[in-house]
Amino acid sequence: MIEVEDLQVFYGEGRDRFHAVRDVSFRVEKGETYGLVGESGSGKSSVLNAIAGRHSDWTGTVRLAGAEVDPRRRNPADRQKVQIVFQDPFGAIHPKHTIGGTIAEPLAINRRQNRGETVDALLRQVGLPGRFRYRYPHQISGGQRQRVSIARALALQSPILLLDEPTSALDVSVQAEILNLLQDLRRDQGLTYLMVTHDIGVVGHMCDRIGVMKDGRIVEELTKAQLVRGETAHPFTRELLSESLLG
Amino acid sequence: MTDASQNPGRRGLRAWLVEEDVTSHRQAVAQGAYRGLVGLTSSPIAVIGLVIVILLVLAAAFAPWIATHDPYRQDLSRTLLPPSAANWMGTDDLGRDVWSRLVYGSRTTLYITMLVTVIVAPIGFLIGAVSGYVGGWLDTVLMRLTDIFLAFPSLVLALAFSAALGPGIGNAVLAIALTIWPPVARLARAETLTVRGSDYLASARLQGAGLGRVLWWHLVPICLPSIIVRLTLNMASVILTAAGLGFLGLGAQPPIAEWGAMAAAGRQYLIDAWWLTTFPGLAILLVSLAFNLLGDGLRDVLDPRSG
Amino acid sequence: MSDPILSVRNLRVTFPSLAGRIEAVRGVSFDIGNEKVGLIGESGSGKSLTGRSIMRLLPKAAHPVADRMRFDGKEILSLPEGEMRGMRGGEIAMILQDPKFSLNPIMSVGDQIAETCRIHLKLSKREARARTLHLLEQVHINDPARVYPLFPHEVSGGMGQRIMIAMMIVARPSLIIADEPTSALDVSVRGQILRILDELRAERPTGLLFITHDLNLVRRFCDRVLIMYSGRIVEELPASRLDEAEHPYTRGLLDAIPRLDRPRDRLATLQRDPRWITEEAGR
Ligand SMILES: Nc1ncnc2c1ncn2[C@@H]1O[C@H](COP(=O)(O)OP(=O)(O)OP(=O)(O)O)[C@@H](O)[C@H]1O
Ligand SMILES: Nc1ncnc2c1ncn2[C@@H]1O[C@H](COP(=O)(O)OP(=O)(O)OP(=O)(O)O)[C@@H](O)[C@H]1O
Ligand SMILES: [Mg+2]
Ligand SMILES: [Mg+2]
Repeated sequence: MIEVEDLQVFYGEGRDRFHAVRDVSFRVEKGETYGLVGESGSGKSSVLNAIAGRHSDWTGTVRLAGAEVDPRRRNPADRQKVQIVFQDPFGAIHPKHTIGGTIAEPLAINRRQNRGETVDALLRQVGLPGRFRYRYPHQISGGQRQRVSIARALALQSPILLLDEPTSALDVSVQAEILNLLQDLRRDQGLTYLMVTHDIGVVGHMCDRIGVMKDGRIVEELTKAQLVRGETAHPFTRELLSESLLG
Repeated sequence: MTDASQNPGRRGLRAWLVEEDVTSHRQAVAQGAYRGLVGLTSSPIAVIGLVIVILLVLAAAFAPWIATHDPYRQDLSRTLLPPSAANWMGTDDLGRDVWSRLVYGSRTTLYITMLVTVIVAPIGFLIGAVSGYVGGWLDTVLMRLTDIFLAFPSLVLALAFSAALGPGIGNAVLAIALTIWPPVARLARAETLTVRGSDYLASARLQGAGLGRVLWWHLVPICLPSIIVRLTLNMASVILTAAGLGFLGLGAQPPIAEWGAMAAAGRQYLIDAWWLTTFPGLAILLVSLAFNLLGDGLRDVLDPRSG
Repeated sequence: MSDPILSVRNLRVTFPSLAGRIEAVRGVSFDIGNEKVGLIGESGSGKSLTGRSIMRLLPKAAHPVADRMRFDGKEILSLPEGEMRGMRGGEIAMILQDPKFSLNPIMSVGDQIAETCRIHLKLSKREARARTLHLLEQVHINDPARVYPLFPHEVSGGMGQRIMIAMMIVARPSLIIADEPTSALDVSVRGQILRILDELRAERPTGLLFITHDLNLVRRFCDRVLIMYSGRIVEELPASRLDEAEHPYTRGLLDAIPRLDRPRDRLATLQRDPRWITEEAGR
């Protein structure tokens, strides 16, 4: 579903040009959840932003559902294949629009019909009461906002969701709700996830395979079974593991 | 946890306006407006400003009923009469009733303020927001342009423009508008820069939103509050500039009733007929002050940073 | 425990609202000595408001009252604003929860740290710059010279938080309020940051109020834990005995953590009991 080969991501121009992601390759099958873990600043969000099209200064090959995407020109078909959910539930929703307006936005941009009913259905899907449609973001909690972000990402029925630390700003009880929701959605709709997280417990719960990133490279790839058994070669992965087993 | 939940018996309009469970778009909007109104009216100073501005609007709307005389009818037998029961604020050198001219003058004042707002807000917003959002060379060009306008004192610039455009109220408004959009553009650009890197804009772009949609749906709600506050605070200086241009003969042309021009015409009779300059002067002062007070109040209500 | 550095009794924070008054913090009492106190609880339970009351950095509408809120012999809530300003970022420092919102979006991160240095240490522009680069290194940002001119939206989530921490180190405070300082950090950097906090504490007795929702972290890093629910402290216990917690809310939190060594198909979620809101803390 997602194939990435030799991805290089750059920031800046000229002398300040910074090579944030180097030679990253991985593939994610349909219905699978792939986890990216790694140090802060190792380029995890950069990989997601490049795939999603938020950042266009990259080279390499990215194939989404079989079709290659061009870093510079995204056609509407590419855009509908992939959506992203951001880490920060506070910054991801426009503060001056109602929840309903926010969820309806992708529908309006893409000129979909029956927006009202679709918004109702989406709210139901992410477990929010229908009356939340008319609330403003400041009237709902962090976990509820994250549900709204997820609903917005689901609106175009994209088969791929990129999740950039979707629960790190939430407390564990809300995190559990969101993770359960994501699991249900994946099962019911056959979604494919690419997920960034710091929390090895979350990785173990959600992901089928993980890539460990360091300084812009993927230094190790593990399956869930290997992760649980602690079969790892890289010291950083071991540090991550020791962290969670201590808990 | 709230008092209302302890006595749920209350119903009616107020309950509809404050209840948590909003059930329609209309209610959400009404609640926002109500919250703003409550915030605004909690400051006595802002209420004074609001009341004066409302009075101005009422005076303009019902001028024919409020005025006691025809503001344009000259009566050379009754020139320069002091305030009396027949002419509450006296008469001018052509025998016109000052009170009635003052009432009709509120229409001119309102016309100027509305027109300036309608011209400046969109121009300033567009230039500022596009500049901040698109960035790059466009930003440089637009901001240099703004700087050029900002470099001149606004009264001098307004004078130059209205001299070039020729006298007349429309041209005066145009001249004033040309001098006050740059600060608004600056403001819109600053607001835009703070949200430019935000996740919700990124998300909209990824879903295919174009420049127009980003400007209208995302940036207008962000920039509008501060633009409104800024313009309201600027209204005082707009009114004064308009009065100044009127005073210099570049604004409203006789016989239109305009406060600045009225004050100017009265200055030859300053000693003999004080009412000719005093009442229009007071009106200008009062309305400028009111806009300033209202602007201060709006800033507290609309500006999230102060909350 | 010797004399506490901070002593809070019956802190309440209320907001006026259209439908009456909302009491967001409802009678919170605790002491902090030379120790690390964890404050956990769900989103909206009033953790940040409690921390911000100590700094007197509440939203304008908020109205805090307390029977006592004493820091260093001074009653914080009645201190004149001028004196409070000197204390903020001086003797009391706070790392805010949302680094990207707390930083000025149109000023480079380096300049912002340098400005703090110039205000607190009275350094010249040049010295402040050198000091800033050093500080960035101290919070383990590789390549400080590259990061210096970046704007807040150009740094990664974890960097933003470390930049806030660098600003705090400048002042050497005796009370640190850290509002979720590590939620965007990976384990290795988090370890480094916690070490920095420990180093700061080693130099002089320092109280640390550590607001977080990471139970594993609290268990290992803190000395004592306060658990907040809906504006009250519902439970208080030594961090090492977190697993013996009795309050159903705390138990629910513990059960909701996904763990590698106990894989599950679905995570347990909390069933909230309305009685928790009114119950007093069982100590
Ligand atoms: N817009 C930008 N301009 C310049 N540099 C950037 C920009 N965005 C990211 N970077 C740099 O790229 C590197 C990787 O950043 P990225 O956000 O991908 O890290 P991350 O792995 O997601 O880290 P975190 O876990 O802290 O979020 C960082 O060193 C960061 O400073
Ligand atoms: N400006 C405000 N006006 C009204 N209510 C507010 C305001 N700020 C905060 N509150 C309320 O106070 C309560 C406590 O907020 P606080 O920020 O302390 O939560 P928190 O425990 O830090 O949560 P989180 O884990 O999400 O940061 C919330 O329920 C919130 O609704
Ligand atoms: Mg990131
Ligand atoms: Mg908080």
